[in-house]
Amino acid sequence: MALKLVQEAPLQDADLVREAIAGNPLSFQLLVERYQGRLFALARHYTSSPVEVEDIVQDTFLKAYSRLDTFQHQSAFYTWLYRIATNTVLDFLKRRGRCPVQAVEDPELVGSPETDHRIVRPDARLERQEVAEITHTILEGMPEIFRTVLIMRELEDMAYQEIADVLDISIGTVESRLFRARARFKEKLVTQYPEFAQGLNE
Amino acid sequence: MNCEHARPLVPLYVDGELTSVQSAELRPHLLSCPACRGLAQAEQSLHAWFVPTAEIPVPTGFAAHVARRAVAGDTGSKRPFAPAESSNHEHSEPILQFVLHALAVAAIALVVVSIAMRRLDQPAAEELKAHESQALDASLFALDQINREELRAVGTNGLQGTRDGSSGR
Ligand SMILES: [Zn+2]
Repeated sequence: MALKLVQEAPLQDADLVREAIAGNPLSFQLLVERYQGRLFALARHYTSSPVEVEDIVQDTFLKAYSRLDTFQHQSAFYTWLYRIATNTVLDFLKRRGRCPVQAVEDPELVGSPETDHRIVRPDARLERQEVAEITHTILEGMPEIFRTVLIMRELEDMAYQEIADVLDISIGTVESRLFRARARFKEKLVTQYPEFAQGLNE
Repeated sequence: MNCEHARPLVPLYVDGELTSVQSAELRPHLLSCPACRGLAQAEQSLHAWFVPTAEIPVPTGFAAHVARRAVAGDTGSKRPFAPAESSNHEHSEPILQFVLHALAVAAIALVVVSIAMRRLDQPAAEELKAHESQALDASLFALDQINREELRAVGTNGLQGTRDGSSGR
């Protein structure tokens, strides 16, 4: 095998994947190094435990490696990796049992919520970390299909198309889920933290 | 454009998902229509709740460690997750199993290292020095500890700038 690693230009993900499949462990290590930070940040949105974050990210990379040969090069490597990470996180949340049971309400069947005109800003007295904790708590109590789109859109800053790719759903579904997720988030916010949600009487 | 047309576009506008043509069509309506403008503001107000949280740093040597496990055939899914920090009742992995596993990983890592050192003269290879694999069992054990200490050290100043929820995208 040619020693692509000694080339000067930064290696493309696709090259590293090919080398890793060919048995070069350093190529895989480079891929891990390239994306570990983003995956730590991603997992962090679902849990605040460093041990759990590390487990989720490690598991993601181990799964990715074990099925590296199924990567089709049709999407970006990171999209593929992100999809594995999302599944790993959801799997993890299920096992941990803190995720609300989805059967209780099938959010896809719930009718479109009334357009919510309320403006709900965090109270100015709240520290940034307190805001983050409230948000985290509310997200934890949401059905995962809402939670994932909210995290991807609001915290990961992903475009609808990227979310659609990762979750393997249509853009229209992303749109409607996100719409419902926000309405739900807002609802929980004003019910659970009325004292911190400002500007309710718009 | 009337409200009926404008309303469904508002969330997309706030999310920056409209084309420039669509945005240009919607904007005059938002300027002239308090109801739709209010809706846009309501949609936007939620952004302020999504602020970055204290970052969890990647432990030193994480990539090398994961790559070794991967090459050793660990597919991840079978391994139980560590319990949440607060609970400690199921944290006792059998020591023997752990040592055997560490030895297996170290053995493979040594092979990897010898191959790597023959083939490469790159900085990336330095992460895989022989002494590191000898200390692998210790570092595996210490990983959680290091992680927590780093987090504690980062602690209060680990916060980064928040997204400005009040301005548009
Ligand atoms: Zn209007």
